[in-house]
Amino acid sequence: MNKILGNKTAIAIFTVPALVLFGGTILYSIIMSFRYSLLDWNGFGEGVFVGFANYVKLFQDKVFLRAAGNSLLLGAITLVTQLPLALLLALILTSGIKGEGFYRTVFFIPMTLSSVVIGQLWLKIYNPNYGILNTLLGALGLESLQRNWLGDVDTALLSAFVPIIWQNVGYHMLLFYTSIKSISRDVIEAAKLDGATGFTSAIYITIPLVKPMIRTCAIFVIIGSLKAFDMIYVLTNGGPVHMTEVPSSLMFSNIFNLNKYGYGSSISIFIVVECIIMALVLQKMFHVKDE
Amino acid sequence: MNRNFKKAAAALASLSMLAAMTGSAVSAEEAEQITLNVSHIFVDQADGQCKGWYRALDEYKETHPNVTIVEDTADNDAYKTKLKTQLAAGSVPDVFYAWGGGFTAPFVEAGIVENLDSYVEDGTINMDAMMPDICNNFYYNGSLYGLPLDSFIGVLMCNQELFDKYELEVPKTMDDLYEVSKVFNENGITPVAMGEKDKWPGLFPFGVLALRYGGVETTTTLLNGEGSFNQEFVAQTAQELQKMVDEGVFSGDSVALTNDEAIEEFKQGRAAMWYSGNWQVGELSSEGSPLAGKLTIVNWPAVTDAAGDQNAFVGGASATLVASATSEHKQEAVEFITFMSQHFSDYAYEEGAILPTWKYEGDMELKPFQETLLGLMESADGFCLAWDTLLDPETADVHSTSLQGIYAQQMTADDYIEAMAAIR
Repeated sequence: MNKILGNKTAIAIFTVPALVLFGGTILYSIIMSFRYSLLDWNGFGEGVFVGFANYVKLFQDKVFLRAAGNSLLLGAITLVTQLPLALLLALILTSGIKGEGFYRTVFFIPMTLSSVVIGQLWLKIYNPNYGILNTLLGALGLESLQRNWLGDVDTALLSAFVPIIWQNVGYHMLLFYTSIKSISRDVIEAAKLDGATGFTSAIYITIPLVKPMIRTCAIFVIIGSLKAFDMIYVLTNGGPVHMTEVPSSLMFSNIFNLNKYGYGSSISIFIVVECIIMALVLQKMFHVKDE
Repeated sequence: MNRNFKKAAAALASLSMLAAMTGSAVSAEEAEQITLNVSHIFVDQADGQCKGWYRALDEYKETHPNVTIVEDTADNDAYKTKLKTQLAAGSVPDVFYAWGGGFTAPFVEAGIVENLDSYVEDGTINMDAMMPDICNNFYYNGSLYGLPLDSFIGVLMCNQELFDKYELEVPKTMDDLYEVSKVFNENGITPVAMGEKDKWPGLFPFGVLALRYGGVETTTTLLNGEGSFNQEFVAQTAQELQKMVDEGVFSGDSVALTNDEAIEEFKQGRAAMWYSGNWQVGELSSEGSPLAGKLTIVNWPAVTDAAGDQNAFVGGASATLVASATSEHKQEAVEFITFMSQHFSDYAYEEGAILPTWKYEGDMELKPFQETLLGLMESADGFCLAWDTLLDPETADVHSTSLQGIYAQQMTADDYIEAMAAIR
């Protein structure tokens, strides 16, 4: 076995399929997108080469800047709400409560549903006429808080974020859960002997030991937020008046509704670059902390 | 048994060979087997247009046994995305469903769509059998590029039961509309249902008001690319729309509702009126619909003292079938769109789903709502499609997003004019 792993030819042969797949589907698309992003092109016929004009326009486009801001805001909100919530749930589940398996499954269910289904579900919850949210507020005598959640420019963005955050809590909870479960019993027992229980045990023993998983989840969360699309598309489609636009939804509408393939491609390249930079920055931050 | 079977099989085989030989002797010169790829949006089998399409297609298949039709279908929005991706990738179907005006313009410019002028000249397409001026939106640079499928008019559908209940008259002028809206609002009923989340429904009231203030000719000229949007009649139209929103003519949550949800509001009697194309009139007035026998169909109210056409309609022919300019079987493709355009017009009309685009020569008895629609059409001052159909996609997007801003009470009429004047 060692002989094979030391054999450079063997390594080359075994990695070829994966490389071809990655190169052919991902790398090639990104390179082509970059090429298109340098064109003024309506998708049909010949494009005109315009250099980096699309990128210059991108950073002067108010709608795009709002979209980019929205996705960063989503990342920040998700980071400070979703991850702590997921961690808390995982800690409670692993603390030996009754019905552990049952709750684990329940929390994970949203992950197994398609985003479109969840989007439709929340559309009904938010519906201003018969939605459960307004009905509930009415029943509690809080009519003044009732509103048109996804249609009102003041509440649309946050209302669209809530389902996105809700949807993925279960996923991160499961990652934390398995990570906590894999901590050696000895460590926990030893801590117990030293008098650490519940809260202190979680703070000083469990959380430091699952730190690598927290790092992974944080990267997932941020990257996921930067490329958020499906839920926004279903819930608001970027409206009202571009208030809930994110870069991906803007890219979609530019390419497929406005026939601006060049400009839309420059948005897609922006998303790629932004994601890579964010991933590197996060890695760096965690490294500094580790040392 | 086995032997009998073998005998029968042998007999059959020789018979079919004979048949094939005689058959080929007859049709060898007239027909080689070809395949046409056709992309379209008729997917909902319960829909009248879809029924009309398949009646026409079945007849085509029977009369053209040498042509194999391979269909590729998707629902409206998905279809647009799919088609654009396909065309951008250079794989153009022989025949495809499209929309006149701004949608097809880039395909024509890119040389993807077959110019139909020569086929009109050689008689493949008989323009005289069509309704007059029905192809107006399919001309680019003076040449014809598509044949019509349906034509429609925008109508105000009123729930007569609700009007009777509150002793109101169906509005004839905008002042009437504001009056009845007040009464409906006081009674917790939405005056006019509107699903502005989808953006396009909100273009209808604006479109018709523009005809009231500016008239068909002025509006069409503007939409075809001449002149600035910063014009008196556009400003008046935007102001009137803003006034309607402010006075509560539409429901306050219109921007959160889709068109389907708005229809539902109207169907269930929670809204008194609905303004849209005549597409759903047949379904709404059919037996089993909660509105059967209660629908009053009129044109949008007039604006007293305005300079435009008070009896003009939003409407015309928009959906079209076009042939690929790169098809290997251009002649057959053009014959196919001609056949389908004409027969679809007849059959979908008989299903009650469309207004005819070709002169109807069948002998079907008209349903009451069809007579109403034809009556409205015949008395009309003129027609103009909704703005998003005629404008190029980018201008159309600014137009529809700004109007959404007015419906959401986030933008004013002045903001709208400013946004549009920035384009031209």
